[in-house]
Amino acid sequence: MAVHTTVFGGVRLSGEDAKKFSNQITYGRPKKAAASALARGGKLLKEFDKKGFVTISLKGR
Amino acid sequence: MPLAKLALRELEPGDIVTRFSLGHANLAPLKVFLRKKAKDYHTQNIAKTYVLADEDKAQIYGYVSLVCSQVKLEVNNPVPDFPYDYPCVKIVRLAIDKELKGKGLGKDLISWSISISKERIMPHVGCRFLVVDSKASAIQFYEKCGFTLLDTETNKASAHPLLFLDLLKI
Repeated sequence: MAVHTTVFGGVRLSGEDAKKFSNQITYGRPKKAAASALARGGKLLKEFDKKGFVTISLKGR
Repeated sequence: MPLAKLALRELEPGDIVTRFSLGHANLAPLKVFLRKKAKDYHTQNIAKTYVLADEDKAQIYGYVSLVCSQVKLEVNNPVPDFPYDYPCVKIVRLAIDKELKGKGLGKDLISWSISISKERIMPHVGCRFLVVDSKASAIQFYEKCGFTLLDTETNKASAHPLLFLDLLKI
């Protein structure tokens, strides 16, 4: 069992790691946080399409 | 005068990358990559880098770098009759300048990466996952952004645990 990965390369899973990954992607449910991040990112993309960049305000952070 | 806003955009040739500071020796590779490799990799289409920049000075305060990658499963491929590698996008670098840490800018870069992958890549080119080889100390950060940790003891004990996000399901 192992996870083989390099920074700019691919990921190779064997043994228990491959089984678990297969199980998680087959039966796993998406997290609410992922949907929230996608929604936030979608807004950023729309602004990017209009202006070529996105303005990120630092006020209140 | 404190910064009021940043621009999220692609890395540009004139960007000032030399003042980027992370404040910890363990994070030096992230600084070195931005200083020495990111522009070349961006131009060569090896890794695309998106930055958070002070537009007045073109100074960089954060960045994320993305590449095409793949996940190879040596056993238990869940898709029938697909004995190949799963295409994915990989987050290879993510860093925020120490001056602006804790302001949610890392989450913005992750949101950006998820949307680029889901909305701009996946509909046009086969791409199933967004993956990252995290630092162990950053697992919770990625989980809060919606990533799932590969839940094995070997992975959790790794110096760079694998987390993934199934783009098909969000």
